[in-house]
Amino acid sequence: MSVRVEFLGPLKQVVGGEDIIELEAGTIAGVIEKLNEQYQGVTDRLLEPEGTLHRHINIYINEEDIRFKEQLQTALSPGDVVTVISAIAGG
Amino acid sequence: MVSPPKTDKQQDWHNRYARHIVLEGVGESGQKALNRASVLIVGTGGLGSPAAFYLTAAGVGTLGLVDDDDVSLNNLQRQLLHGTSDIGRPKVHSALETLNEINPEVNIHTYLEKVTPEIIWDLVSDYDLLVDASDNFATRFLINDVCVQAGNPLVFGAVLQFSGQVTTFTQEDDCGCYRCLFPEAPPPQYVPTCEQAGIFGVIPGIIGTLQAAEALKLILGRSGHEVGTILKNRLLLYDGKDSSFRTVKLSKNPGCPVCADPAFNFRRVNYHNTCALEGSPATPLGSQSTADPSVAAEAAKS
Repeated sequence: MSVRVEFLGPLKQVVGGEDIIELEAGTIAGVIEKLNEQYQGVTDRLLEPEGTLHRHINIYINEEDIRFKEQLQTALSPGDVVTVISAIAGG
Repeated sequence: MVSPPKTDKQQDWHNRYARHIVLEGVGESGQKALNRASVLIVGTGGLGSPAAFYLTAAGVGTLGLVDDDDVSLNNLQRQLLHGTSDIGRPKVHSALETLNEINPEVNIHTYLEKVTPEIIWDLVSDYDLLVDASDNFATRFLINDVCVQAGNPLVFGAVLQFSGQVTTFTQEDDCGCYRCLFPEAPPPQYVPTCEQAGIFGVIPGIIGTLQAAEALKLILGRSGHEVGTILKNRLLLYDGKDSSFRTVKLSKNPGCPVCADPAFNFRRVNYHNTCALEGSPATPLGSQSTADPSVAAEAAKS
């Protein structure tokens, strides 16, 4: 199913500066796999070596944090917007 | 009954705050609530400048400013409290002069101090709420942890390049904290600083102003004034490139080793490294099926 993925802030460089990426995936894990085929290093920037989400990275489906859903296995529906952000600390 | 004539001081008060006094939701009683309030701003740079400007202009009774830094030429592109003639001076000194000129009625305390756990703990009880205008993860986690432990509301803001984040941690039972949002600081190679990656000058202006708005609304709301909702359990994301705001949900983590553990003690956290709680699990918080929150919490207990 088709979803829209957006990386905000400094993470945008991970996907070559793209604002919106449309792709077909059924779960967040599927989104990361698809992105990693297109943009080298996405998996390393988002996931720990053992495959869990980095603790400074948040992924939202629409407005919901996947940490409080089914994590990387959270299912997607057509038209969902996936937003990926990183902790930042500048002031 | 005829009211006694107003003194010059009363007239000045009405004049200075006339636009608040006439504003539905604030009024005279709201302005008096602001005049009684106290706010501690940690950092007087890009975020601290607009936050301090607006809180001072709004007549917050007491404002505390913590910063041990001196003004540099490269600060002036965005840190509006300071001017060219202030280069080399402590930021809190130039900030005090600037703010006194805006509103001499505000009682401003300056702390030319490095932010340490003990300094923040000593100061936190003197203020109603804190504004995090700092510039590094260690200080942000420290401020969060101390505010949770002390029960002080915290207005969070952070910026980098063209982006910014704002939220308010009220410390109420149903409100998440910064560690519910981001359990740990990233390794340095993953997220650059503003010095390394740059910052579009107006971004801290926008985010720091939103922090001031949150602080003022929190004070007014808690004194019974109807000024709408604050960013409790919501994270506001600003993208300066596409000029857009987005809001996402911030959920309280029932296994949070800081805000969900009444025995949490900030003195047991190493803020010099990654702000990690000793013994915290590698699995993400919120994964109740795979992570036992008591394991993460254990080392933080006194």
